[in-house]
Amino acid sequence: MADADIRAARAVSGAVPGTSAGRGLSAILLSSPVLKALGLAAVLGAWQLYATVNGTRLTPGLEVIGQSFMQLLEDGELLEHAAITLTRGFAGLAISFLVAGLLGFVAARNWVVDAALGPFVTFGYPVPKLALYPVIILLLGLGAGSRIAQVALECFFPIFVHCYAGARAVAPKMEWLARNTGAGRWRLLTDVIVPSALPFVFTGLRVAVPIMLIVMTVTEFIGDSQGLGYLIARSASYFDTASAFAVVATLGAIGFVSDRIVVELRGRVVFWEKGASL
Amino acid sequence: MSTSGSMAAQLMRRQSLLGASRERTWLISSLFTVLVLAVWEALTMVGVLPAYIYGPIEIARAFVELARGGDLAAQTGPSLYRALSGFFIGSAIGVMLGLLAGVSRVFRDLFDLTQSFTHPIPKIALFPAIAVLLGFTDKSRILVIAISAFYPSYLNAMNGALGINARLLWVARNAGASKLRTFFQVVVPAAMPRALVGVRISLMISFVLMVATEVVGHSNGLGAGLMEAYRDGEYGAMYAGIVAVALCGVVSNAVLQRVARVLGGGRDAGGAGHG
Amino acid sequence: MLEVKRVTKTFRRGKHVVNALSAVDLAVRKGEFLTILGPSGCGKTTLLHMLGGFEFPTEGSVEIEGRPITGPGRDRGMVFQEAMLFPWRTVRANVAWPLQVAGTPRREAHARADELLAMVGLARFGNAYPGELSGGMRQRAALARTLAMEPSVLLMDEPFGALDAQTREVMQEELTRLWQASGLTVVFITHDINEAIFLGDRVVVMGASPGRVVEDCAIELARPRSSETKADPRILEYRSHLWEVLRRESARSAPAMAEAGR
Repeated sequence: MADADIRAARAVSGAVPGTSAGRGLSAILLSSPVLKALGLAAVLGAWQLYATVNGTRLTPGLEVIGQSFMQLLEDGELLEHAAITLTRGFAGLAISFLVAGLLGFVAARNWVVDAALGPFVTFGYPVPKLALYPVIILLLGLGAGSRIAQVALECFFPIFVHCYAGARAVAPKMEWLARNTGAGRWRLLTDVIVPSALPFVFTGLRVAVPIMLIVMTVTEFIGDSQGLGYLIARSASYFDTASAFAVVATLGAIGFVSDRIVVELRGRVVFWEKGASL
Repeated sequence: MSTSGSMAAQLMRRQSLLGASRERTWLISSLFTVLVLAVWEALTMVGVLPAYIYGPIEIARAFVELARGGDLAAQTGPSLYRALSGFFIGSAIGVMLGLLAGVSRVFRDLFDLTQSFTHPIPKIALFPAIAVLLGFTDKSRILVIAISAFYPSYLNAMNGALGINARLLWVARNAGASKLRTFFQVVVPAAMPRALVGVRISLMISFVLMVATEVVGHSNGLGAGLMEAYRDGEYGAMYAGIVAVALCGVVSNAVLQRVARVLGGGRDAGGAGHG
Repeated sequence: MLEVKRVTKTFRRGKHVVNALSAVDLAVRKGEFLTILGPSGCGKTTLLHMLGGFEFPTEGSVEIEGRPITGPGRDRGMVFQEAMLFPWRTVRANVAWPLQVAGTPRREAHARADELLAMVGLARFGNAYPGELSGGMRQRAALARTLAMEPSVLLMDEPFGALDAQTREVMQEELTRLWQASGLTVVFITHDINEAIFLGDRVVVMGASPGRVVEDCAIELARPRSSETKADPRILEYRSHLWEVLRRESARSAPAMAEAGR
């Protein structure tokens, strides 16, 4: 508790001492909201400056990007491709979640499964799974299937690892107390292990969502003519960088919103862990 | 990737379960792996699998062939160069700025909105646009890789510095240590474990982006090589390329783990990082 | 009622072999309140865990009413220092849980939970979540939950250790009052001499390295105990006696403990 106070004090400790008149102004200038806005404005300003100075079609200013964005939106293309990317992406994520979640829990409670899966997870994690994509295309063709499979493959690992950790993170004494009441294995799982593991499960989900977006984007660069990734590649091939950036910004917005949704969901389901940030 | 990669990194250090000694765990692990490989090989030999699915022995053979032929070196070189350049640039800047953001609220606030808005963007999405501007060159690829590698390092270094028990800093101030000394002798070591976790994630991302940037546009390198092999139907070369990429990832990760241990990545930094 | 027969517990920590317990003999009579006192590392917690059926002796046996203890059971309720309530359930649901595990329907279980909560002084807090309660209140809830199992033995591992001094005293008085009315057998571990004397019919002092019983002291203060008991002059005698025992023990075992790498 005291630590939080100290941390809060540090957070505002950027105050600069000065004369009483100067202190007012510098206090305002150095306050959080102002600085944050300034920082963002500076970056956007720099972009705009670069675009203006450069003046070519290839380095679009913010207003050009905005126009392209509106154009894509009105044409319906943005929504159409976004829908495709998202349905496939979340489908892959769902599959991954079910499989990885189940295996993670089982591996956490059963040493045989844990030992069996161990090498695959340990060695599979640092490997860029994208390299396997050609094989998946060979297996499932160049359509929705291969993309969903690739997403499922890449999201598997973080979800597995987090669910595993969650199932293992049950306080031993809590488990003892549960066993003390004579609770059987199933009840132990549903009433104690799963709720205890939920915070971890959500964190795993939170890590997996950006991965899903990355994988969808990349796989949509290759073949097929659908999805936001395709839209970016197409715009780039026409040297329409403004549209490309517009779609990039859209992806960013989607990522941001998805993350917020997961965090909000976590806050509601895992209501007993207040103020926990990952 | 998000900061919770720190936990994932810890989780990857697996412990043996109650009811299983280290020897028995090892036994099951090896047996199962051998079993999977054997079944895979058997299925290939029987001919049940399609022609483009190679068995483990065939893959090993193809890999050796590619390695011997000198193609492998020719491809690995440029790929590693790009991946590692991007990694070093991105993570170095990320760690430095992250530490700075951790100790200075002013700095942190200045960066805050930009960081939050750009973080959720899949950086690979930037590649086509950047390639238009800079061509499908090493420069554009390294740039995208560096940008991707920046974020995990930045976030983890920042959180590492933020998570330092404030009392450690008070001790330094009490002793009259200058800000610079405090930074280098207290903040940096205390934040290091968490920062190193971020750097590991950055490395992983660098390799993923290495492959991702090579499958688009004309290129040399492992990723390009294996895509080309796929298109030409040269499955041997394709699998060899996959193995090469996998090896890069695994080896570099192991090396980084060693380095991290030396740099004190496993130490408890006195109350850091309950976040 | 409870018998610890020549129990030895050793385990390996790296290269060291730790003698947590060495040929310990202990008997607990039915309905007795036994307190176990001792420094860290004397094996008292391990002993309690064995009575609970969560750990097992390397040699010797642990029995309840003549039957060997082979695992945890509802007849021996454990209470730990951390209440370990499920944060995702209300206090009432927590207390009702052991009943539901045994098959009691929800409504009945909740009604019984309310009774127990009233008994421990938490009648109004049934709907609260554990995160909203203070440490002392959480321990009361934990106690209510354990009582819901209707155990014949209560095994308590420094349950008040994490509480502040005032709350601790209140809880001690509550506990002795509850115990007096219940007739349960209690084995209670503590660091605190005063607590041991106030609560126990008998105080067993354990020593470390190796873990064993050093002293077995009957406390002959009048029952039922209350805050007035604390004014009894004999408490001072008991205290200085036990303090002396403990002091001797820690002087004796300090070098040995340092070696054991504690």
